[in-house]
Amino acid sequence: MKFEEFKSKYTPQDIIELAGELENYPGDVRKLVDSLRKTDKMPLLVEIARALALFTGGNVASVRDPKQFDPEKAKKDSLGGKLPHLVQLLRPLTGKFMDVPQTKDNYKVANYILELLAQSDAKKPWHATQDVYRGMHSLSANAFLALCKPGAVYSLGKIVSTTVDKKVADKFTKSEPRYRLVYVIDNSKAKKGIYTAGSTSAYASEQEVVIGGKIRILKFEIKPTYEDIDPFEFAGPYEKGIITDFDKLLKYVQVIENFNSEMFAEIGGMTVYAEVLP
Amino acid sequence: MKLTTKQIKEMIKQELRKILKEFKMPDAARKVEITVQPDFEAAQQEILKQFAIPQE
Repeated sequence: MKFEEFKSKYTPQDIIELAGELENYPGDVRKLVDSLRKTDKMPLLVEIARALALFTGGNVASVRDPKQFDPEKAKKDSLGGKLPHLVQLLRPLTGKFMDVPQTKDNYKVANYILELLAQSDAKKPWHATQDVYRGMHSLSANAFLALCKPGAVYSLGKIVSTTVDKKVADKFTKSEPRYRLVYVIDNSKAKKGIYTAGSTSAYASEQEVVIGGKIRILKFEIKPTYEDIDPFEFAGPYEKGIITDFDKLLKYVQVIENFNSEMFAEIGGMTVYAEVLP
Repeated sequence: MKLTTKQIKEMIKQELRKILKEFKMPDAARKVEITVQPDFEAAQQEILKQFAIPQE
């Protein structure tokens, strides 16, 4: 469907309602697909399924910014065996809409849908409105400090992938260069986003929540290790417990920067608590 | 109890730290040359860059 046609045919409310129905459907989505079979909602369901499939398994950069769409690359980009369950259910009814190269209009529609859903505070599964997790790594010391600073507010962008499974965020940062951290983002007040797991995701195990907007940093904690720091070079003082005070963190990072050049050093797991702003 | 070389080195370092602290020898430490401070602009750029990537 052409982007302009899609926009004129469906209101934001239509999109949010049907995506919500899909997201909160209690049983097998096959029943939902069957119930919509001969209704005018079917083309919208196809576009929502396509948007979520492209974001979770297609060219994420083009979903986030359709200007980056490259028709030559699109010919090679295929979800292959990663087709979400919902797409497979829709295939017999609508044809193999995800097996053909996707067009720029497909990506524009996907972008439009996901930007709406990422900001939506419509009803969603309970665990998608609690803590969501996001890992970061390979940070400079000064960026790392700012990312941990309580009170700081950051824009996430319009479409951001987080997870309800902390292990996914931990795995993302593991074995990556310092500085690393895991954000624990409280979504209980804002209740934003769309939960893409199970039938709608190309990688269901990631249990993604796609959100957008701003977060505020609340607090942090790190258990310093002082790994690979030569006592003859740095004689102390050493923090023994968990650091939650920003000035103490500043001192610890300064020690690391001066006395540890090992980029993969285990400096201690940093957990930063933040909240999604409404 | 079997210890790895890394664990033994870390134990020695911890003992050295205690001794240095006891004898109040922080002057033995190398002078701090690099100072750090939070860079909010760089942090914002990192969020936009890294959050754009799925956590696969």
